[in-house]
Amino acid sequence: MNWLTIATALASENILLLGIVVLLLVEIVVSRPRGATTLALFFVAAAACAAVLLYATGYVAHPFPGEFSTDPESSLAKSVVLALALPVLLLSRDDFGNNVPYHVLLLSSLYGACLLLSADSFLTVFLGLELLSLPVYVLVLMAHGHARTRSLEAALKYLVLGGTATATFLLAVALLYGGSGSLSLSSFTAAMVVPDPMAIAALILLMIAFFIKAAVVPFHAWAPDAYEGASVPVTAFMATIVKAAILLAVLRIVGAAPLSGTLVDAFAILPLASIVWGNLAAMRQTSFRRMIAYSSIAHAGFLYYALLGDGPGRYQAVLFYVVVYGLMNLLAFAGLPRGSDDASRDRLDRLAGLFHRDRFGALMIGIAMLSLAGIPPLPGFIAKFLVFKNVMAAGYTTYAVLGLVGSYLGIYFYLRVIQLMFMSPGEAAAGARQDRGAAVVTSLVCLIPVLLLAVFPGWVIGRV
Amino acid sequence: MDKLSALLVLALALFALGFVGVIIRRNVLVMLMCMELMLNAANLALVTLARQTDTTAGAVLVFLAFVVAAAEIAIAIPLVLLLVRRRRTLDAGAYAELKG
Repeated sequence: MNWLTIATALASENILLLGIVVLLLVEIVVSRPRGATTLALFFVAAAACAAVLLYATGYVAHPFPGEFSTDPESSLAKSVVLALALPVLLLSRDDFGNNVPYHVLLLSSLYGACLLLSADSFLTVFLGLELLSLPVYVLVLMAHGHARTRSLEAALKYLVLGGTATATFLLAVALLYGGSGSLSLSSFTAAMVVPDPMAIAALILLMIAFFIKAAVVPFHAWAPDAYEGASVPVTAFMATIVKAAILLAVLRIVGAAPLSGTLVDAFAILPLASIVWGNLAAMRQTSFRRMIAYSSIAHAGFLYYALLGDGPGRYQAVLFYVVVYGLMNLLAFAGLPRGSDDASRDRLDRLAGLFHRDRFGALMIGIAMLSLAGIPPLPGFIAKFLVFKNVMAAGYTTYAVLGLVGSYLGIYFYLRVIQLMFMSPGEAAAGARQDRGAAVVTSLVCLIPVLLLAVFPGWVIGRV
Repeated sequence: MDKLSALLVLALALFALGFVGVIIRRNVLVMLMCMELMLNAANLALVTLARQTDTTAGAVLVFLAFVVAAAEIAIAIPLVLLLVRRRRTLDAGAYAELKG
């Protein structure tokens, strides 16, 4: 075993691990720790830089043959996930700035995401998946101030459904393993062409497990509750990082092989249902985060849709979509006005007339909503265009048309938010100005890449 | 039916039982037990198939699954405790502050 290879190939993971250890030491040694966010930011940024470097140099290594490998694809996916975590950390500065356990959990979850994205066998996928989700159950519980009953409920619901998904995943892996005698990811693609009942059962179970984890209809019930019960930065984390990591992992498992056999219809119909139902249910929400939850259910549908396309186009479409969707959500969360507590912060009618009180925040949320709805000049449109282009190219024209119709259902509730913010009367900012330093920085961190993506989409797509 | 396929059928039956339990039972502790039942059914399937295919990878995965299941329960039990302390009930139907 070559230690140097392990140190380099697992550079991002090692940096995150170092961060976890340092944060724990700070918690133990310092009686009243301060600046936990700054420390965490430093380590996540370093890990992201390491991933970018590994990608730029085209580093390929197999430190644990058959279990874990680093290649440019996985390095790029890791750098995307880690870079998306930076705005999340900036967002949590206000609520959790000095809370060390919060940051330890966040870094552990990111570690799980990195492990997941480099996995070569279902054993590593299992470890990564659990390391990604277990800290999130606890993060949901961590509300601003003290634990609220609704955070408890949300965490428990999430945990029970997450545990069910884990068990389903394990059984699917067991069946795949029974068929091929190995736990390697290739047994998935091998099972796809075998018309054996055990293989088909395994594929269906595996699909259900990942549908639960990414909240696709009809396995979406946990998402609105968990998103509403968690505090704002944790919701942002779940909506962007967890979803991105799960989808990129599915991409890694499915590989470049085109989907075939009986599975294709399930891969199209459930995401389609997800797009339609997510957009319809989002219309009648009164809470901002529940609305974002249903919108994320719809977007999970689009992301799974992208798998219908073939090989390289699929990779490009998912990666681009994940980046755009993550940035948009983070932008919206950064623009949210601050409230006395999480529950009041999140009611939709509090956004009424926001433009008159907080122009910057309203503009940010407005851009995010237009882009999530897929209005042309914004990158959200390009992301959707890429997905549908690939689906059409692969010959699923009917599904593409239906998905497009479904996506137009969503425009209503995104525009409703904008109407609330800009067209309702509201008094100008009264009394003390709020300190919005962190929020402004977060928005700019998200906005600059968004503008780049909007102006030079071709250049970015050409690079991946 | 030989011993190994009987064990496999048992694993699938336990898994189905656990799944039904998670869906229809309203007692939070029973739901958690059913979740564990599903996990252990998957473990049983893994061990049986490891024996059948004469490889060790599946048995190794079982040990990791044990650790994960323990961690999951270590998070779940305090959650249930806190909820019961506030609501004085184990009935999941009573935890309905989140709706929509």
